[in-house]
Amino acid sequence: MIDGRAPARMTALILAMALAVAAAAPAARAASAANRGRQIFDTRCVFCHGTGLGHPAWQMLALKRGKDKAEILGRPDLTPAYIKHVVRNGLIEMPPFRPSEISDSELDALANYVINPNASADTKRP
Amino acid sequence: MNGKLPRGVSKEKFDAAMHAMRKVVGDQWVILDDNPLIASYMDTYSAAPESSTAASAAVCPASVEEVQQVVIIAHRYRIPIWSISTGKNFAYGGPAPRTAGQVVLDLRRMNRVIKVDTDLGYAVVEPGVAYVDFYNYMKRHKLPYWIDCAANGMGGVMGNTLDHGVGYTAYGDHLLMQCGMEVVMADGSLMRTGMGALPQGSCWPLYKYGYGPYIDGLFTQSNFGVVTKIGLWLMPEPPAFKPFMVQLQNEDDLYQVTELLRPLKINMIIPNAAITVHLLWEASVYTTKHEWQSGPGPLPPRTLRKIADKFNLGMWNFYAALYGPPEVVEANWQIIESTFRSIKGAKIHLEKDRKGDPSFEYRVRLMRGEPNLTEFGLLNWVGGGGHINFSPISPASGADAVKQFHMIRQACEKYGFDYIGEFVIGWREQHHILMLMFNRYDADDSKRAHDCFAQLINDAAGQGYGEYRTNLHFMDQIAQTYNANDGALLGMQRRVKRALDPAGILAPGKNGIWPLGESPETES
Repeated sequence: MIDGRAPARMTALILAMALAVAAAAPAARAASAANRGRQIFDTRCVFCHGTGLGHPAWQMLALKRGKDKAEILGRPDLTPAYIKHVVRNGLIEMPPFRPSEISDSELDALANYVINPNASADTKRP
Repeated sequence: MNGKLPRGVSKEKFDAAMHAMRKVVGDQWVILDDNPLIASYMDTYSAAPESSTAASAAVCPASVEEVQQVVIIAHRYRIPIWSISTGKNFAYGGPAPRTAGQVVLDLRRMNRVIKVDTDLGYAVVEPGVAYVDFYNYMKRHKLPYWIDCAANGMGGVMGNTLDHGVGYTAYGDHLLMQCGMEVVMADGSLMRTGMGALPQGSCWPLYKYGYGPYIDGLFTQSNFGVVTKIGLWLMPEPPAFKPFMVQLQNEDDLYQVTELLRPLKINMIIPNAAITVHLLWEASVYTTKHEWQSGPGPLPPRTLRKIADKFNLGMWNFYAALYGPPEVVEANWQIIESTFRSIKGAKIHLEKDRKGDPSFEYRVRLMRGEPNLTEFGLLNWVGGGGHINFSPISPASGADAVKQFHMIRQACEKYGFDYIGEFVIGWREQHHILMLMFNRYDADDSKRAHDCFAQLINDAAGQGYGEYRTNLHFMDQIAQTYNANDGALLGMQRRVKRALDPAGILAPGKNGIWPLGESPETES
């Protein structure tokens, strides 16, 4: 039963666990953000920005910029600021996405994922 | 803010309303027009300037209770609010309101699949559930049902249903498969339709009609309330699924394929929303217009033939699918195959014949309810993204199909556009969808597209055809064509509007339904 009056031994255990969690927190947060970025990409972006014919954005980018630029994941010339601007404002054929669809924190995670999709082993694409 | 206000609302009242709404939904969920985020509420695909439908603000509630409070505040300050679900109704206006200055009521944050009943085969969803989210939910929970999605996989399950949208499985008539609604009325009260009006009971998503007048249809393509939940019937995953394509070599084959199809539909041999698609609709998956012609104007017939040959497409391409026990599917297939073989030169293709073909594969995915956006390759056809859909209804007859095809193509060519169309065949009628593609960064192209669309409405009405759905900018013109008996239908709709929403705050002008004292002219 948890009654809010933890005995001393339990307090020490909780403190030790908290310290361990704190030490692991930055890495866990980064992995979680990368996963979130990938999740947003896979549900909001991949229909158009997946690879190959059948993905309209890939098709248009391949035509205009060449196939090496058609895949946006990991493209070195993109910046998080540019990605976020395009998502919020749209670009030519691409519609804008509202904060009710992709929140600001999700957009941060998405932009970072697009820049560096292999940031975490957990998020490496097959 | 930049000074944009709803019609007839002072800045003081507007500010007070926004202040009150912030207290309900939180500061970050009231977006004024001095916030760059308001750009995400623009209609970025229409032929008219974006400014003509630019919102003064957007408000994003997260619950039914918040919607009720926002509506009460809007009522108190007489603020017009335009509700959207996912805001991805692209060819029809997207997230933008009917006129500049209206406040968008963005329901996207209400995105829960509230319930899926696996015994009775239904779901209850909130407005912000997108097809892709619904699909992923079903997969994640390993539920033995398929969803039915529109061609835009990011579109909204509820929004599409309320706008009379269609999909591609046997459950493709979305409104037919809707059962039960929850609606916030203009005074902020909450109503459930049908069996949902019982204080207790579980038949709300099961029996549509309840007791007394059946009213769910009043809340579709209208502005009589804000729908916050709907029930949907779900299609059981079939033991066998057999999609197929009939490739037709000549444009004149449209007559015969439609005549052959009609009895197969009426007798439910073909159960799904079957489609006869013109060449260029499918070709845009592989190619763009600029690869075939550098100058303006529609492509000539000889170029169309070259495109058909290069991509192994017909001038028309018919798609449908069979669902059910394997024995039943095969028995029906024998009937279908022998029927379509009677068309001279027709080629029948199954999945094994077109493996890796992106245009065939996206049709197959749609016919089994898998969201995608492959069809948006159409936006690349001329580039610039502009597109508006002209969509008249006609009897499912060969004569009507051919008549509409020639009427619409003639108008397209007069204004310098390609005919890019398809017929979606329901039980006894067909939706003819023209995808009018133009470069919205070219003012002349946009104007011609707008003029072409306006002419088509009149041409169609002159032949007895009316549209089933439309873009913001043509809602009034189309409403005026449904004018039998001195406009009795629109007159009744406006009387209902004035009874249910006397302050005229809910989506003024939606589908031509204006509050008392307002009209398109007062908004322009």
